[in-house]
Amino acid sequence: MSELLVLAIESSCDETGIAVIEDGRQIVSNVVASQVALHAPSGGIVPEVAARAHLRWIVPVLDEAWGDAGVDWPDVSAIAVTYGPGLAGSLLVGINFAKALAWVHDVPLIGVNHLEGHVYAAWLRDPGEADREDPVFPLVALVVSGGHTFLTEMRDHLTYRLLGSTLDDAAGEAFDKVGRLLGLGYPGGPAIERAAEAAIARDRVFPRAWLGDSFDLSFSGLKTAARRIVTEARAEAGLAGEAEAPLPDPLVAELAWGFQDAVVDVLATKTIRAARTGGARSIVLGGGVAANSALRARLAGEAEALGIPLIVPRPALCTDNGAMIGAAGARRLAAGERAGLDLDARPSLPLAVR
Amino acid sequence: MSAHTRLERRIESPDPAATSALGLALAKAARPGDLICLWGDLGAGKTHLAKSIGAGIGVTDTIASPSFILMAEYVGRLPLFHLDLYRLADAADVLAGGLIDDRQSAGVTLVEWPDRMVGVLPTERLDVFIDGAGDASRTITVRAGTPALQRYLDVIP
Repeated sequence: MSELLVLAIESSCDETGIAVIEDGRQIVSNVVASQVALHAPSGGIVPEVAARAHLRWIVPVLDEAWGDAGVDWPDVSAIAVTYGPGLAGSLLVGINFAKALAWVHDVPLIGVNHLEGHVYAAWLRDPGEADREDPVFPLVALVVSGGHTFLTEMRDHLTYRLLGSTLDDAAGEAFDKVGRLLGLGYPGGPAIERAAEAAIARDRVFPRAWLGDSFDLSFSGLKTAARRIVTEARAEAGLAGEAEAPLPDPLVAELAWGFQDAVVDVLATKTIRAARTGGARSIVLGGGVAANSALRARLAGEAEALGIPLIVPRPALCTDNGAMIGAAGARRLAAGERAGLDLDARPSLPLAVR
Repeated sequence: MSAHTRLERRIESPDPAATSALGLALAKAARPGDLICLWGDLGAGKTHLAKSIGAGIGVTDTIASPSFILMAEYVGRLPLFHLDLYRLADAADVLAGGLIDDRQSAGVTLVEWPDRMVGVLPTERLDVFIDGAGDASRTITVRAGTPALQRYLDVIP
């Protein structure tokens, strides 16, 4: 087989993902053992439960990805694995698994930054998907997830300049915490989005932290304001003394809409300004919060007005997965990079510098 | 003065800048293996205080909330481990999660939402209670769990 095949492994957080990627773009197979259901009772990920689940799932996930792909070891050009950022215990499961496979099958090993994986998801094609244009450089990428929120500029492959990042809470974290305040379930992002869609009154204004001309972001004040607004709304609804009593659905919808509108407004405004300032020729959106349809719709409209394409992977490729690591890993392989068998977990690995 | 009061100091912080000043001061007393628990409600300013303690330890990276990633690691004059247990249910999660690990003996560990591991918190810890929310001032109580940690109380302006 002449195509460049990369086997990619992702285990930085709560998803065990393994994929086979051809030529850095084409998904041959992509399997994610989502641990969301496992974690839902505690309202979030549980790391060593996660690390243990990675251990439990990694072989079955490989078997399934391998079976779906129908490839054999001589076809594999490299093994790409996430080596940071993430939880040390979770990262090590994937790294050691990748190292063992690379050693046994004598295949090059490539270390990939999880965050660049979220950017490179924009290059991925599903099986059977019609060919389309790749993102064009220079580009501005907004990566928004539960753990990370940042804007980066790329003038070429694998080169990142950090434009701004959150100074406190990640956007996804703000969704989760406010979702909990509103009595909505975990994860908070989809729950708030669903609630907001039902809002009739759409005039609640939550504060925006613009931070002047900076591309940095801040959601801590919004979270604090949401807490105050929810407390006031409870009082208005006559529920001040009844901590367990749920807010009426129309009020929850109204508050969810106001909160989501504030987050989307700041993210979209800064991304578009970054694109305009840097003369970007495309905009890439990635990370779990990129699944939010209000954010997608707002950015799509503004990018169109700016005359440049917005590339957003489908939701399952925005959340953590192996395919995105394969897309980035293939670029690193093509650039001649190789990791040694001493590759170690880097829990706080940065992506870009200012 | 009783032993109890000697191991505790209380200050009023009128604004975030004053809370930052407290964090920078506390960092001067930081030694390898120290555990600092940050208690307070959502929006009390735990991450804000953590940022200034980190800055005082010499961390130059942005210290952001680790609620989702559970533990963030930084390097200053000492390693800094910043934990946020908000999402966890109880001590079993924290222990099973390996969130308390050996590497922390070489650095300073900050824990937000330490109530999640209250049954297994060691006595040898510094507690910082932040009371207040929104734009109001904060009452911040610093309590040393052992006499050795009294050095933190001595550096408070």
